[in-house]
Amino acid sequence: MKPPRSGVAVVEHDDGDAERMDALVRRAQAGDVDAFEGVYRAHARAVFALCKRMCGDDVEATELVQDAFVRAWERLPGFRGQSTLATWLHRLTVNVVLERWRSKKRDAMRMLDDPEGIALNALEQRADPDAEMDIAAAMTKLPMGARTVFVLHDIEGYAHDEIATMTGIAAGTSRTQLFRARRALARLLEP
Amino acid sequence: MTQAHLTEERLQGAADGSLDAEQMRAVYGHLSECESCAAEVARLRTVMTRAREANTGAPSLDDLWPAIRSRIEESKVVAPKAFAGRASGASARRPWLAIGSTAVAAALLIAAFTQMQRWTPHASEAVSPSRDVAFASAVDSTRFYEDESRRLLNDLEMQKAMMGPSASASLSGDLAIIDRSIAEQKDALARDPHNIALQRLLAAAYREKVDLLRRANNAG
Repeated sequence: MKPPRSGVAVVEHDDGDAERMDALVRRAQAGDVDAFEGVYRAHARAVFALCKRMCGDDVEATELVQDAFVRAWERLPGFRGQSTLATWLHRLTVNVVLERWRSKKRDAMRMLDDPEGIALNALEQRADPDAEMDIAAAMTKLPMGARTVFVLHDIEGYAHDEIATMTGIAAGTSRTQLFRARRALARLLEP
Repeated sequence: MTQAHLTEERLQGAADGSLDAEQMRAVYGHLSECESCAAEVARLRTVMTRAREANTGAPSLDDLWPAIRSRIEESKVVAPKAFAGRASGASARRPWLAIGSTAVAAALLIAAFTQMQRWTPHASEAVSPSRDVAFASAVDSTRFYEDESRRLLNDLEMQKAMMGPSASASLSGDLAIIDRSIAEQKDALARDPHNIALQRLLAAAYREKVDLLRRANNAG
């Protein structure tokens, strides 16, 4: 898996930071919750940003952050350091978000697999040519499927086949959703 | 080399850099002569750049930690073990061997506790709301470790084909011990389904299984 290319999750700024983080991770793997708090404080903002981008809502994002770090605690013994902790945490968080959608939102996964882009067509038709919007607001206007693919590909740096594996949609659908999401955002951001 | 405008695939590929070198050369040749396509690519790049740089804002995330810690403590049926890859010697070469004694110990502990429960059949009565939450956490943990062990067992199939006979037998033996413990715990829970201690022990047994399987998978 490619590392996140946005830089939002990179907290190990230098060797010293990386060593300190490695030590925290090792202690947390041995059951030290206080050490895990250090991991949380170093990564919470980036994990929140990912959750917020994917779900578009502050309250739901904070719930997802909690779920993600509880899951991270449970899975930490399996973290082997083959990827950076930030990359591992992001992948885990994406899975937490997708699992919540699968379990709580009946239409969510159907919307992810929306090859005809019906929801996105409706959005583009609704776009108000007089309204100016910032990118964060514009992203919340995207249908969930398009937003998910856009965030995972253009911000988190996942390839289409990885997105396909994570979400259960076809790689071609992922590509189509991405193109349409970019087009819709470009249109929403037009002055 | 002016020609028809670029296809959507090429425009998007030029914007995100996903085209191969040959395609990129051809596309850049076109973009140098076609203002319309160049503007489209710039427009798409702007979207991507702005999205990556966008500030999502954040509430006070420090406030979330106590709730996270509480959930961890509630569900912490067994403290996570240090990563097996840092083990040395024989246990590093055959990591599942290192857990054998732990698994046996866990099995004995569980069996002893099961026996104890047979003598105290009303131990789970008077369940309070906080115990309800704790019980639900233990059930969640059990479900998680059970699912994880199932997944890891699937992953292990390929590895087992490449193991030596003695290693494979050792792993199978350890798994059998844990599976017997799990079966005993399930029996005990069937008799006393609201017993939180039994539920936690069942989760612990599954966690032992997950740890063992992870070590075996990582050994490959």
